[in-house]
Amino acid sequence: MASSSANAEQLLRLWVRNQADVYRYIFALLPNPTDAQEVLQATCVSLWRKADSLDVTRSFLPLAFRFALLEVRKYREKNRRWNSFLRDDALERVAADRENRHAELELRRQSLAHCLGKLPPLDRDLIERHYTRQQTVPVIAEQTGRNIHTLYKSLQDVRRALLACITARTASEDRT
Amino acid sequence: MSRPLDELLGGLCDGTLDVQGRESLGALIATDPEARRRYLEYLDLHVSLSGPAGVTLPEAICEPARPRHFTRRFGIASALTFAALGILGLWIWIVQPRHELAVAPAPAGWPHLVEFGGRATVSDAAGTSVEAQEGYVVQPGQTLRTDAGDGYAVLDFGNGSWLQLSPEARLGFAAQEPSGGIRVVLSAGVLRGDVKATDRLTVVTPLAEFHPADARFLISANAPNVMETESKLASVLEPSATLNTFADWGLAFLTETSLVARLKSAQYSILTPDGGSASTPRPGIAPDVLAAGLSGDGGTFFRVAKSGTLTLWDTATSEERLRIDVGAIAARWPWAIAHDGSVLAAAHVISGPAIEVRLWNARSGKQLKTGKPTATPSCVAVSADGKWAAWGIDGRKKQPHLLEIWDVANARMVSTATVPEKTLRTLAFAPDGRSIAGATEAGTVHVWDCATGRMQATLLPAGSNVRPVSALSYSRSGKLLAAGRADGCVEVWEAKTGRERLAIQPGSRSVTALAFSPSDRALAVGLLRQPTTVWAVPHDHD
Repeated sequence: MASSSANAEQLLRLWVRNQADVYRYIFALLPNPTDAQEVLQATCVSLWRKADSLDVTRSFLPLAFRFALLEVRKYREKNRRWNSFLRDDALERVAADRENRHAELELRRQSLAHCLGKLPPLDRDLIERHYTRQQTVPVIAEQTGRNIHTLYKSLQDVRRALLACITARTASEDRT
Repeated sequence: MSRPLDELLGGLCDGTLDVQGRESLGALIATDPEARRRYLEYLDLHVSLSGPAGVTLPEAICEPARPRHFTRRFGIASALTFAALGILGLWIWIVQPRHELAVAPAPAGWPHLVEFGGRATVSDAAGTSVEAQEGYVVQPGQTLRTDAGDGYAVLDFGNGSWLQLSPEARLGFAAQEPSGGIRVVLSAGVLRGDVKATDRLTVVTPLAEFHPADARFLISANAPNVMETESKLASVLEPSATLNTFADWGLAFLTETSLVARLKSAQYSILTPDGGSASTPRPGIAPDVLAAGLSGDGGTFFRVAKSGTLTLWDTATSEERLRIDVGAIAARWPWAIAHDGSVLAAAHVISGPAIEVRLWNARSGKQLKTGKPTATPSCVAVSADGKWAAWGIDGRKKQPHLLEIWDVANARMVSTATVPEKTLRTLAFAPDGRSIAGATEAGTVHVWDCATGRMQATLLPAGSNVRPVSALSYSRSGKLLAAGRADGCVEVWEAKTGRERLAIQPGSRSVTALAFSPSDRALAVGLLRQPTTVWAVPHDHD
């Protein structure tokens, strides 16, 4: 059996490698970046506390998801406003679906770069401003002279187009 | 995918979704697997566009309770700041006037809030919401919500009529034109009350419309039946038959009008619900029985003796059909038999880590190729035609809990699925063998695709009191799935949509057996040491 320090070191490596996936999982259950961040940190602490007793040779993500779900539940107990979005039973369904679809969603992510490349220049610019440069829609509206409501609609249209592209690409890859 | 869903998701990601939109989205995600699928894809895209996890995103989502940019670097200082802001916000909320809801005044005779537990929130169509106080008159166009847990609300009409909402309930109010009166829409939770006919109240749920008239009632948003605690109302939830036989250990309809009950004495008896009669238990009592069971079609009864002799009987004729020597067995092996009685399975620990699931052709007695579970099964099931076997694997020692599905004829594992929450305790194949339902120790019921192991649905009862499932059964058409719980409650869902069709509580002890009649119209419920009951299953409303 690995020594406890070796265990902790391995856990740290696994966490660093998989943290993004855990964040994505948490975000599906708490779609607010600040709240999701807080739960991510709590999950990390929770895993760290159990470092000595965890079997780090097993698949890490299912374990991390389990810890994350526990932290999400605890967070929701303290922040009851989340219950108005998803009840406890619905949360469990989303959590189970998210875990079951993790591999599939990973595959979809791999198609994102390709699909972003297919966007028209104006749409690509909008995505770049909003997501890469982290500009809010009102700021983009001010800088580009475009209407705020039109911009929100455009964002939704671009996301829809990206999703369709990703779906088509992953479907065609399945067939080959 | 429908545009409204994408608009809700876009609003969620852009932080422009109002309270009503959030609730609509939450309801869609909760009930529609495809909407849930889209939700996950949409959010994953949104996060992926944002770059690595942990990078602050441009806009907060879902009405953040704290400032929009929060990074680890400023953790402690931010937490203290947020706490101070929170206290300030709370002071402002307590001291300052409430937001006004923009609706017309209620007509005369409308009920007012006299008592509530937790918070009672009132919202209008524009999404404005406030916490209601005692004396508040809920008005046309408003929706009253109660908290989960200890939440409830009582409304008084001022003339002796009253309404009470359960926890996690939602009741929308509208004026009835031109006749007058009140129309309430119960979209979640349970409503009980005692309302005079002269109050002209109409109660609408997704499954029923009801006009209370001078008697107490109880109606759930999720069930089509109105329960009445006093007489005079339209439909009442009662069993169609109560049989004085304790079918502790198994039930199956032999025909539409006769039922086979497996008894605690490892015998069976044939019951006729209409006549209330029960046959003499058969076969004779044997003292050394380790396991016994009934096939789903009621036609086969089997018993396994300590000596290793497995005997099968035809229940209709009570003739012994077959004897098989199954070798040395131990007590507490989970056993299962196919619906048509063709295949038997038993999970068998040979020694140490060596585990197998033994399978027999129950017609010829021939032992089939053994199943190879990856660990000790917690439960086992055989598909209706005996072609597949399945077992739950207990995730001890940090292993995940699993469902494994086995091809009996070809002796190979078909698929494996991870079981969320806790260990599977009971399994039921759909009649077509394409999907399998499993109930975990946590009380949730999941449905998986047998060929791929992909989870298709998760089913939970309405309300938050989820007790462990002790019995699970598909109807013969495969359209309905019933789950019985440790507290005597039974839910019946439509297998395809997950919509709850029936919710009853035949007794106070654990449900031990469930069986649908061949027509899907009746459900027999066996309880631990309590009478067996038969219930009418509501017709398809679609």
